[in-house]
Amino acid sequence: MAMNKQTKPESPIVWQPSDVAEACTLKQQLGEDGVFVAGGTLLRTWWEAGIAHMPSHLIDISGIANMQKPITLVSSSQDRQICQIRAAALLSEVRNDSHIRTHYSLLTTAMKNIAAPSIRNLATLGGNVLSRVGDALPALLVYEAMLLWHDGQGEFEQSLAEWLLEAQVSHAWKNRLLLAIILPPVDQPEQEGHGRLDVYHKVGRREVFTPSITTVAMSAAVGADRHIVEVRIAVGGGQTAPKRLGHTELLLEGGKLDRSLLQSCYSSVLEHFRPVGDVFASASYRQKTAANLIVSELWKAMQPKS
Amino acid sequence: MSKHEMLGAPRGAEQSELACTINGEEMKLEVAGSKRLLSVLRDDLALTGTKRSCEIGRCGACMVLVDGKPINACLTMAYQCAGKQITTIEGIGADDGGMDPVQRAFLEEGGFQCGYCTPGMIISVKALLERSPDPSEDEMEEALSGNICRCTGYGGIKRAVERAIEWRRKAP
Ligand SMILES: Cc1cc2nc3c(=O)[nH]c(=O)nc-3n(C[C@H](O)[C@H](O)[C@H](O)COP(=O)(O)OP(=O)(O)OC[C@H]3O[C@@H](n4cnc5c(N)ncnc54)[C@H](O)[C@@H]3O)c2cc1C
Ligand code: FES
Ligand code: FES
Repeated sequence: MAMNKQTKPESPIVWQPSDVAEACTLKQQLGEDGVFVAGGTLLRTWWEAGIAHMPSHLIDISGIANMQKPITLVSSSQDRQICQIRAAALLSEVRNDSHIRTHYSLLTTAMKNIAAPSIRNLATLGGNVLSRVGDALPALLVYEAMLLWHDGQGEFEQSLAEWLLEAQVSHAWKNRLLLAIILPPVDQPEQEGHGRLDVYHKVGRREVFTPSITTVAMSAAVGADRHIVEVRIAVGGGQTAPKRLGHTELLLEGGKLDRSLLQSCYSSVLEHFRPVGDVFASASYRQKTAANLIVSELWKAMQPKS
Repeated sequence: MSKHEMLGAPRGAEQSELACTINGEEMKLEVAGSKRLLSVLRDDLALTGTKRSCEIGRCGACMVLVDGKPINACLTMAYQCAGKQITTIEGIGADDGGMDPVQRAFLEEGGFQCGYCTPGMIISVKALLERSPDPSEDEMEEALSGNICRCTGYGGIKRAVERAIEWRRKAP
């Protein structure tokens, strides 16, 4: 594989590896001059905004053989199905997948809220995850998604939550290829008399086709007696790396939804969600938006069913 | 390993052959793999019906169909079009040279003023109706969410979509 690295081309040279090993070898050889590209929608935004310079080489991952089937179901030990979404799966493919709609509805809603259909026909889930601020992330965090990587030596899994923390302090992941996003089986309402509370909200400055100010994903089971269990809450939005609100989840877990619990929950969100502000929306505005969204959904869930 | 730009050409060169179909015509073009489709269409092929505006995927003026799906030509690179069927606004009309019902509906319902967003709007509506001939209001809004119009306030556009649905429903 001979490459002339001296002359910087006016437009990047596009490499199309057909398997994972070739892709990783290319990345190792090209180093920072070579960038993995999936849909290219985010890279284009960065290049045009001057956030990143256009590299000399693009390594297109869409032709890699085992990236072809976007979504596969694998049976786990207890005969439950693990859902593997290939990193190169288009957002539109994820949006329209019936298994995801049935079992991971927050992800379907997240997809509908990302950009517009034409962009979702190009953009991938892997690219969205690796942006570190993508709107898919809060939903994926709630489902405790795992990432399947290849680092040139071999494959390994890492929890999404752990990678988000790692990415804050290290750029090592930029040399790896993301192969898939793995969704563990969802435990559906198994407790007698419990209903599901599954919500995903993205608040922006316009109703649709807008960057997020605050994004909230929440999943829980609420009993007829208003006890809440299996609580998972993730928040993000703007340039804030999404995260689970572990303290708030603990506070709610097993509790009975009432005015006092909701008040504590509101304070807990304000305390533990530390968003990044910008000229459009301050950090405190984003915090309050998250707290309001979460508490209003809990309030709705504690109303008697008509 | 194939370097797309170079399929068959010597390594290190930046030009390559892009083989695709544009408005029904098979083409082989010498372009850099990372060149934007928008530039290929407008600058190389003089298909200027596809409009250039924001160039970052925000406005929808550059919308084209790639294998029947709407895609922003300003975000798409040439290599992503290899082997694909591309339809621009110039290729939307009926085979006999007349207008597509969607085009006629925009004209008759006043679905435009300055007309700059119109090719992109028509492409998005065309894609929607091919996929879902009787779309709900939600589907309509979602399908057009990536197309911005600064003139009409969208009222005329909505009427045009409704009219196009009606005509297609009545068509033999
Ligand atoms: C107009 C517009 C609106 C948008 N709106 C939204 C929005 O509402 N919400 C939102 O979340 N995002 C939005 N985005 C951002 C972006 O489109 C999405 O995050 C998209 O999912 C990125 O995917 P991609 O395939 O295009 O990524 P690319 O641009 O191809 O890549 C993004 C990054 O990930 C790396 N990468 C990609 N795949 C891999 C892989 N498999 N392994 C290793 N590295 C990889 C690339 O090197 C690059 O650093 C928008 C973008 C545009 C242009
Ligand atoms: S020019 Fe492509 S979306 Fe605006
Ligand atoms: S008619 Fe002028 S922008 Fe839509």
